[in-house]
Amino acid sequence: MTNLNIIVAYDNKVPNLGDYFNDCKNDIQGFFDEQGIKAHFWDSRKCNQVHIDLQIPYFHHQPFIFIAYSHGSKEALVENEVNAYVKVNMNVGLFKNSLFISNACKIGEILGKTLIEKGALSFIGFDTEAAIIRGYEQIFIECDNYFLKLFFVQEISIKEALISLIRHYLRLIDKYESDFEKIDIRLALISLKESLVRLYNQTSALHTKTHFYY
Amino acid sequence: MNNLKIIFIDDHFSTDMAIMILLKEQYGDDNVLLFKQPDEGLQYIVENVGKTVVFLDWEFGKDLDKGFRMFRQIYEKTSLVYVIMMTVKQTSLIEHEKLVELINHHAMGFIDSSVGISIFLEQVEKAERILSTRLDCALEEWILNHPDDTFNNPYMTTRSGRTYTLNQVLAEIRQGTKLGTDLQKNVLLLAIDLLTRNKKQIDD
Repeated sequence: MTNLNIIVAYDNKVPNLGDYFNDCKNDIQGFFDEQGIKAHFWDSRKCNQVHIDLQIPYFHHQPFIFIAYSHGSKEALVENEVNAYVKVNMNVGLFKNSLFISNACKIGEILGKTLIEKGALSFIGFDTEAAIIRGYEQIFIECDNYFLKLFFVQEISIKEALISLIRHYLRLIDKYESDFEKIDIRLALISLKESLVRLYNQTSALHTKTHFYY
Repeated sequence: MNNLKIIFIDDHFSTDMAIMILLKEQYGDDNVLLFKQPDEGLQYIVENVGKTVVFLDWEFGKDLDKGFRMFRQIYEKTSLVYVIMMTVKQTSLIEHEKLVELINHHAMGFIDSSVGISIFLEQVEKAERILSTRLDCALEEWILNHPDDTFNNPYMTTRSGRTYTLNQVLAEIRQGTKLGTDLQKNVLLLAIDLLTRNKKQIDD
């Protein structure tokens, strides 16, 4: 019981946010290295349907964690803003047994629900087009990876880690309380908090990292 | 906070009219202006963006729609302006499409330019109250406080990949687009959160 299956897909080549997605990946990779956790890292070249359809079946026979730093739409994760690589009515069923986490916009609306219907254990994502304020990317990277770091450093359930994530958003909102110039960061953070979608059932909500070891 | 400006754009008004004198006494000489040439008035509004009440004549000489076209140009430039159309026309005689556009872009009122001074004063006081409470005005004022040289830099990127400069964010707020109204919604969410949250519970 020492191995984990973790996949990190990141669309590092997409214009506008490729650097941000790459920085999110570097941040979590640094954390995993510190913790001695091994993960598979799939860059833009591997964010495509063929790769997903061929590779995910090697993982989904036991609980695994799929993380995506990528653009999204209501029904899909998309590479380079247009090419869907995880999509409703395409390959969602492959993600059975997954804890599916993404910072993509809008996917909480339909894709997340469909993932759960098709057997994913839990889904964490956003259902709006939340924004990142330029020059303050580090704050948003910290939030995007906060759940994962907490989940792996403590023996804490998915539900508990998500409650902590909400508290973290609120702490950051309070942190900039006296700085009128940073009202935009507070607005972006409240928007992220409000659009966070958490989908799980009574059992999967209680899963800790132990559930994903094999 | 900038002082409220009151601008009359009307080729029949003059600075020695009682309403102009009264308003200057109340709001200051520099804050009450009259433009007989509509394009000069528009240029002033664009170059001096801030909370402004504009009394705008509908007709200028033979140009029967000049005021309406100016209204459109003002709203493309700023949401900090409260426009009151001055016309002797009955609203039933204004073309349907123009009325729709006026309502959809928040023309704040119609006034007959021959009404008494008290009506003008009431309108200005009402405009001042409304401009101080509208969320789009508050956001626009906050953005306008940024240094000029930052307006064309990438400011925010949505997670669907669209990057906006501050200038573009301003345009979205002024035009009431999805992004503009989402920003206003976020202000309300933040206010509600701050007013209702039990901080002790969060900080434990």
